Amino acid sequence: MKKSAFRTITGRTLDLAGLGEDERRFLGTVQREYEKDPEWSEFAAWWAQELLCAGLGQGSVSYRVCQDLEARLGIAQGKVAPPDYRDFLADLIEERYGSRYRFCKETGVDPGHLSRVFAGRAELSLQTLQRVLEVLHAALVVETEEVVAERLSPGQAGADLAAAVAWVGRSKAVGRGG
Amino acid sequence: MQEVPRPVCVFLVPLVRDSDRLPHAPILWRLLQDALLRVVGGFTGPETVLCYRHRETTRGVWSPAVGEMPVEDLSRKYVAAVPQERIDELRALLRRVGNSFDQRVMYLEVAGYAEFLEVQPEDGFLEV
Repeated sequence: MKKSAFRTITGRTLDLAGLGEDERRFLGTVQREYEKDPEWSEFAAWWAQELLCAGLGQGSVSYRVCQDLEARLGIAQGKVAPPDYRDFLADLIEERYGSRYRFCKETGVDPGHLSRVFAGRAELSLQTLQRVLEVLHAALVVETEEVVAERLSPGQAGADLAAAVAWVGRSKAVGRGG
Repeated sequence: MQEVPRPVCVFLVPLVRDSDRLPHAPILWRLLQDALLRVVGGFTGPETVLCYRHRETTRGVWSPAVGEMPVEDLSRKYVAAVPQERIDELRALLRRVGNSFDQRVMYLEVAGYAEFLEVQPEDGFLEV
């Protein structure tokens, strides 16, 4: 993984290399707040307000990083379920197709059924899941609970974010100097 | 030019599903936030609406039906100043939230008046 990358709970890589100085500083502030191990909703309200004040929007990398950190706190505090295959699928669909509608149109998956699946009201049959995974160029992986816990850990994410933000800061300073 | 006053809307999103009392998947909270910013507020567009999320979860009691035992719920409380002409959009969004978050009824207050939005399957779901 690149040193400037932050990995979400579903394994999506968010590259911080292109961040401007203001956004990098914003993420530094977020990381310091996050290290205090705040309550889930408190952190959610805090970062949303800070993001607005920083002039960053829904399309920013910081928005996705903050949502991920919030989810990790929620999971650790027992207020959010750990991610399952639905979270991974939704992320892949968003990343590769932009919308559920486009994905369903191109793959023939029933959009209503997929919505019920994401809402936890239905499951994908193994056959459909295999077809969806093929289309998304993804694979089903079985992991031990220990590995999953480490991936979801708020502490690990905080450390990874700190390292990525610091690395980006150093590389920008070197770029300016050289 | 003086801005037209906006009704303050308050709504609650329970932390657990109605059917099995389990917490929601991370994707749902993410989709909710994305949709809320699109519908009632955002960082782009000509009509900016302030949207606050309360810092603390709210404790409340609701009764599933006459004769059934009340259920204590923890919810996330949201407050948004929404332009009058967009309140129906908010109601529609909350019904979709109800389906995605497995809720039979969604609580909404508009300018101090309480509404209990009954959720029907045809209201749809939050979308990726």
